[in-house]
Amino acid sequence: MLKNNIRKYSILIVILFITFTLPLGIKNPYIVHIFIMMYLNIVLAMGLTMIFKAGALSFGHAAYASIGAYTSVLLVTMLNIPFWIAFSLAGVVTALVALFIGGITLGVRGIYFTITTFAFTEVMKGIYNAYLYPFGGPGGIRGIPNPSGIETKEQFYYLALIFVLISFFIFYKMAHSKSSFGIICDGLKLNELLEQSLGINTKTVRIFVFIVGCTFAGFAGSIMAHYLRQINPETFAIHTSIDIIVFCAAGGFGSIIGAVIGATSLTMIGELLYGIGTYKSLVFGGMLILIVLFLPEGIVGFISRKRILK
Amino acid sequence: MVPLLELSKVTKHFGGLCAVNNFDLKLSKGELMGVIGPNGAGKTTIFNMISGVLNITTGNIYFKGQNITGQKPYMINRMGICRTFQLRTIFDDLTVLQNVMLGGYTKKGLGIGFLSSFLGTTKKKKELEQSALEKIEQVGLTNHKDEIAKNLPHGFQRAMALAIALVTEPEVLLLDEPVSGMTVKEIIWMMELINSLRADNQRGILLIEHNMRAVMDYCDKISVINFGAKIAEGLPIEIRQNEDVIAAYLGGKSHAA
Repeated sequence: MLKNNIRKYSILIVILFITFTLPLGIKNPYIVHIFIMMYLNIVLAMGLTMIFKAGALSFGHAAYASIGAYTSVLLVTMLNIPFWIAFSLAGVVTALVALFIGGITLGVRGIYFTITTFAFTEVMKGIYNAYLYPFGGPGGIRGIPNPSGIETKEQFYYLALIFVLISFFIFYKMAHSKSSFGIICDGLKLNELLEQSLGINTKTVRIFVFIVGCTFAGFAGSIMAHYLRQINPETFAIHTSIDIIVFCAAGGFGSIIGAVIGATSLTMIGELLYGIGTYKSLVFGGMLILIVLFLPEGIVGFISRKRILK
Repeated sequence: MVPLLELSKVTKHFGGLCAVNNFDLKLSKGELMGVIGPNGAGKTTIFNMISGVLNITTGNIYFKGQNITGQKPYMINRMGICRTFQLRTIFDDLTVLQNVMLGGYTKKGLGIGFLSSFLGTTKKKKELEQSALEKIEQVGLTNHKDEIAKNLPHGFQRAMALAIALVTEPEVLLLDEPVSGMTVKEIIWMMELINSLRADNQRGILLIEHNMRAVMDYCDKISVINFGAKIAEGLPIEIRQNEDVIAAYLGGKSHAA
């Protein structure tokens, strides 16, 4: 037990050390860029994992990231609101949309809920495309100013790093199999009727988890838009949602550590595949099929099963 | 005295089908009451209405004199009515201890203020774990507390389902066929356990069961329903001799009428 803890904390300290000193050692801006995108992908994957843990598979995660992104970009460019306030408001707006949409759609279960999330993603894309004002139409919004104080890649790197660490702490706490909330979520997925009959308001739990997961997607979207300095309806479309699902599936659906591992490894692989352009989706799709067939519990499930057999 | 649980003219229609018709029932503290009837008589429908899973077409349900008709299942449980399910209904992939602890989150304020549950309220959690362990001991599963629930034998799973219900500390316990699929030895053990649950005379237990011996030997009072309507109610000895009941179970003249 103690030995386990020591190992766990030493791994954590090594990871923290490497991630915090990385930009000092590596001056290659492309690699720093990959890491920034990786951190944001990790947050997106963790949010989706949390929602899945409470029994719902969402194809709309990218749509919530887009809501956060457009909200904060519009607040900054049109109203000249400082980045940090716009960033916070992006979270609030995403949470409210998640409350409204989740409140309606979480009433339907299983695959039917998933279909509604598909539809929502397409609706949002349609709205961004249709309205030149304020969303910029298909061309989106370009030339987004850098937030004051965060101008260089290194500064963005640390912003993304701190953001991913805070999110990880919150999601890990929520999903942990020893925390009450983690067990309530597991129980919700395993047997909702029984859990209701034990006095747990399962609908509130589902909506709460959905809001938390989506809000962090909104935050991530906001950071990503300000970092890339441009956003258009394709930045966070259905293919982004599918990428996030592939991250989660690769790591092991339902596990926060799995989300981190999946998003990390696949962001790297995705960047290696940069040369083949649009064929990336093809490779990711093929990978999803292979994972479902041969690694249904993802990397984390594979490792833990090996450990048990040993 | 106000009964613990009272059903008054409860009726349930599924479209054109009348599943339960004008059903009355009174359950007092310390009472163990059996509800029997042939398959499809409407027994489980009654449980589903009491526990709020199904809406009631007409009629009322009172808990300690308070009308609880139409409340949501989780509210019904918080008031102090807990049910178990007919088929094995457990959290498959969790351990026995986790299963039982899940029953207590609301009681310990970890369920309602579920925000508090991940901000960490260690003291309450310790209390909950303690009370869960007590219930696990009560149903005799202490040696299996860390096993994954789905790996347990059937009888143990039913015992665990009872422990999950007990940890919510219900005043009314609704048991839906708790001894189905058990061996004779297990049935006796389970019925003794159920019998002991009312010992302090604070709890009322309503029991649906097909096993006649279990019901006849242990229940204070038995209510018999057929085609959604009550056909008899009384002491086990009276029920045993009631012609309508015999006809309902064995088939006879009054059945056709």
